[in-house]
Amino acid sequence: MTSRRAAVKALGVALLAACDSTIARLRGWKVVPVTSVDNVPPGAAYRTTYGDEPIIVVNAGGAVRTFVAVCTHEGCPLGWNPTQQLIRCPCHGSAFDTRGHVVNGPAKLPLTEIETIVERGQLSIVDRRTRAVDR
Amino acid sequence: MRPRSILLLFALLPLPLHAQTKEYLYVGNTLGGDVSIIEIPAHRVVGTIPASVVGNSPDDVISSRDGKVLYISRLDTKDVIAVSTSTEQQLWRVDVGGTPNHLALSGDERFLYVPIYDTGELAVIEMKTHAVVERLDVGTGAHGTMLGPSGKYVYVGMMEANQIAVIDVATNTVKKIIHMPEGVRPFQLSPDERRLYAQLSKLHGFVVLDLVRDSVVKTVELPTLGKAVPAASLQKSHWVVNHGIGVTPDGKHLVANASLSGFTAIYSLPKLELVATVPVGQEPNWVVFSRDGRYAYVSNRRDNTLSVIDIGLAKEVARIRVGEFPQRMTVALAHRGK
Repeated sequence: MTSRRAAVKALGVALLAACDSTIARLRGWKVVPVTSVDNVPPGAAYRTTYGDEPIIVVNAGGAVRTFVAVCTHEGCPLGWNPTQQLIRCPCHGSAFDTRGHVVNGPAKLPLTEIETIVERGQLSIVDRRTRAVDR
Repeated sequence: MRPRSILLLFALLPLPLHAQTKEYLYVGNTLGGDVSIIEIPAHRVVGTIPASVVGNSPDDVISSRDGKVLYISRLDTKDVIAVSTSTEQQLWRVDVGGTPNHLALSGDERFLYVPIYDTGELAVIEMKTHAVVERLDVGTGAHGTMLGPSGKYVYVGMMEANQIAVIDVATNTVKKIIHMPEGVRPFQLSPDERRLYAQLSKLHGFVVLDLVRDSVVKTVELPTLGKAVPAASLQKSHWVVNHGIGVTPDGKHLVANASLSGFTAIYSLPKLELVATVPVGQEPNWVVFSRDGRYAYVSNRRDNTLSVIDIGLAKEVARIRVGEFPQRMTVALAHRGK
């Protein structure tokens, strides 16, 4: 009994200590490495693609977020203006802040955020649409 | 004087300006923030005006008629800058109070017309003072401008208000508003200024507007080439099927991009008969021509390339890698003399 309790306790401690990516994987979600966190220092952004979809990772003073980098106005790929600290659309000038909110139209809808995990210097995103077993 | 000294003397003499002036294509790369410079007719990239000079999402790039200055509208900073083609440095900058799109110069170059997308205005910059001297209400989504061949009128297309405003250049006032079936995208004018060819947001083709009757008299649908055209009309947001249309300098051909289908169509004028479809890069966005009209240049913004189309051959003769997200372009005779 004691040993079983100890085992359960040990498992609980282990789960608590488990990293976010492990939890995501345990839930069956796909965890996708994106880049080293060194490539996204505070005030910077990192643009890449996931599948066919452009994504943008922004680091606003240590708060790292990832968005689908597609303008909600006409579907154009988005860029980053480091001076303004805004995600910008090259087609008609829409602007989004580092939380994905619209600060300049013509876009009206916010960006779609993707769950982001930073662990041991690695930045990853969580794809809840794809099960890990699908890999 | 020895022959060698004579040679040296000639080498030190400045060349006449026309000998140093060349034809260049300037391509604005909106995501890259820079401008690629392509020599014509060699069709090779010979330089870049860097993002440190341009930056802030350049939207349109046009040139003064003498080729000495580029005027660039910038989305992020809501301004227009002037850049010397000689030094490739910024000359001046004007805030325009909203998101500027496609520019037009008056014939005498006294005024620069700047459509402001988000305020529905046409800002008029006086080139002598570099100040906005007029703001004309033209309609929401002011997007494209073009000076008519007569030089008397500037035409402004609205993406959201579904109309075209005609501006009297002599007085800088709105002469008339022409209602259109839907949002107006790039457009061109016939050399006699009796016809306006306009791409519309959700049309895989273009319409012909009679400027005497102020009504659409024809709709030309581009071929589908056996592929389904993405259903733009099903999009919740604005969407554009085709972007980029041009009339050759001799007025004999019209060139129209099928942006979501990845080709450019060439039509004869005035009959508007399809001459050819030319496969280009991904998402062709704009069309300009070499001064002699031999080549059409098409920016392919999704794969960062430029297609060079020989109009006579009706085929792509070169594809050039440029900067990130190339869109608007201009051809200028310039003297790059750093």
